[in-house]
Amino acid sequence: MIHEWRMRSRLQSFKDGELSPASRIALAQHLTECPACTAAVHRLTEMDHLLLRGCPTPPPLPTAVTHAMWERALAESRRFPGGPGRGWPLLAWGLTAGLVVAATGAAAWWNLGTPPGAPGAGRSGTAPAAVVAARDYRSGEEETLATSYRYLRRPQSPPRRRSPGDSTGEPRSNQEKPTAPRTDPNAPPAVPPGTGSGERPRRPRPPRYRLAQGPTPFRCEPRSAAWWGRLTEEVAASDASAAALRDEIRMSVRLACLPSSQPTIGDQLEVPSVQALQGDQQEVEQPFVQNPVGPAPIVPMEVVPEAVPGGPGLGPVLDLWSPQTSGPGDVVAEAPAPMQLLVMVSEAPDPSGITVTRCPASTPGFARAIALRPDGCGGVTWTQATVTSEGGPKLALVMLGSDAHWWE
Amino acid sequence: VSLLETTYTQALGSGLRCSTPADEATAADEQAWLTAARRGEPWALERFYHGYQPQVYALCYRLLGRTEDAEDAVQATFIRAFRALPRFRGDSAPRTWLYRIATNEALGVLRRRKTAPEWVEECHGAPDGAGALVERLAVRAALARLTPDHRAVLVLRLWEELSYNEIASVLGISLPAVKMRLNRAREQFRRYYEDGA
Repeated sequence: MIHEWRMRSRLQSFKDGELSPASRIALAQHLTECPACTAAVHRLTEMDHLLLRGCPTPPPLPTAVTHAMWERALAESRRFPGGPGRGWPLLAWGLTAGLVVAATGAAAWWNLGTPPGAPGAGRSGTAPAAVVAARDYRSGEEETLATSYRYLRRPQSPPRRRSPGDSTGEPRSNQEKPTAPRTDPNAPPAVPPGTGSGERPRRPRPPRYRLAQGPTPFRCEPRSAAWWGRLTEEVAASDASAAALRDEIRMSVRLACLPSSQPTIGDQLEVPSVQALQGDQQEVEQPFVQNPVGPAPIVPMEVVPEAVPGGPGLGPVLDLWSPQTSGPGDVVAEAPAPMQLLVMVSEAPDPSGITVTRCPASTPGFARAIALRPDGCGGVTWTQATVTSEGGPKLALVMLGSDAHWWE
Repeated sequence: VSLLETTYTQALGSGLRCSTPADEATAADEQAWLTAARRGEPWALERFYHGYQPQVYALCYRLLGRTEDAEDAVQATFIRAFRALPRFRGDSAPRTWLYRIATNEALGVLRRRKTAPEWVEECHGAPDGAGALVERLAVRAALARLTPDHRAVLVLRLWEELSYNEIASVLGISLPAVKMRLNRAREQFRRYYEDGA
């Protein structure tokens, strides 16, 4: 006697056509004589029909999805053509660690470049033609750090060499205060080797920003058309002059002032643009007028006059730009400078090479400014400056993006 | 009588089936592009992908019940297949080999997910009557309650129409195990369906 489950298995195999021809014919003969087995086969058949009717049909995949899956599958398979094999676990661990590091770096860079709450972040868009024309950018152009230098005002004062002890100061991240050693502001400038009394004095080189870390291209974040429209509306609302709209856009996007406690651009965008615009306009029209002491909107970065040969470096300049010595309305001559796009702010207790304003009382001498400006591909190139005077009166650390610079 | 005639026809057909010239040409063509695919030539990989992608997608969808999961499984399947193609010796048919990868991917997703598939796309807006809709819902509910292994064996048998040997190859189990698993899956489905209905 055949066991029940074995008989059921045979009936199932018979129904599925999995029996050998001889067994199939033999079982078919049996089915003609056994109504129970025939009913069992019918039940199995009905159940299969029920399943075939009830199970959903897969929805068709769009062609674009199919194509994207194909491209990704091909790309992924090319990435590791050998596939898992000997040594794969070690390689996988290494790759995983690398991916984690890369993702962390990308996230950090992303947070620096585009805050999550920024309007239009992550969306594509096109800058208005006026903005593109204003900057003479070509679409898709990427700015490098060197290009951005052109928009910084360069001091024209004579050089001042740092003492040997200065070299110990290491740049830190823009959230930290540097620990650069102090230097004596009254100390005479160091004489370069080979410049004895009988030799012809070399022409002093103007101080400049010195790159403390490797150059990094500025990011070019895409912005939506809505973001540009909102910006234009804000600017237009602050000034009815449509002719100056282009310049106002340039001004408003480059002007921002934040304490270090609000380090994101998203917060920066909450700064009333009208207030920023007014300060910036003042800077443009009378760019070398010292703002009165007090909560002025924005005081531009210092403008250094022509170099004084043999001068003591930045000392006179600092005196000239000290709020205690220069009153409101004082006009200071300056070297011709390109459009200033970087506003650096700080509240240095010591006179530093950077004009200071607006810094929280909790962190004196340490503040941050963010300058934004449109680029040619619908995005914003931004520059961040973190200024501190704790390193001494003649030395400040400036963070441009993720690059640290010493201000001499 | 009709059952007996059908049985004879199937028995004779299964034993007397011979290949036609068209089948031989197709087989030769497949062998050619499969060889090229093993070398990693893009045109052959593309043909491989477009030739099997709909079937693999249908299999994954029926196992997983969600379009997104099925797409992910299909993509993972082909990534693994493309990487493993150079080592594919042709012991089994490419479809069976690919189904094995896809089934493993889908079963892995199912075991990680530990929730029933949804199959919500077709449940709404059915053109026929309410009775058919209720029946379909009951079938899907019963299918969703099946274990992943039982669902896989049913899907491979009923919709993909694989033979027992092919199912054994895909699932990596023996032939008796296939029979037993299929028997239990049907029995389990019948119980769940009757409970739901």
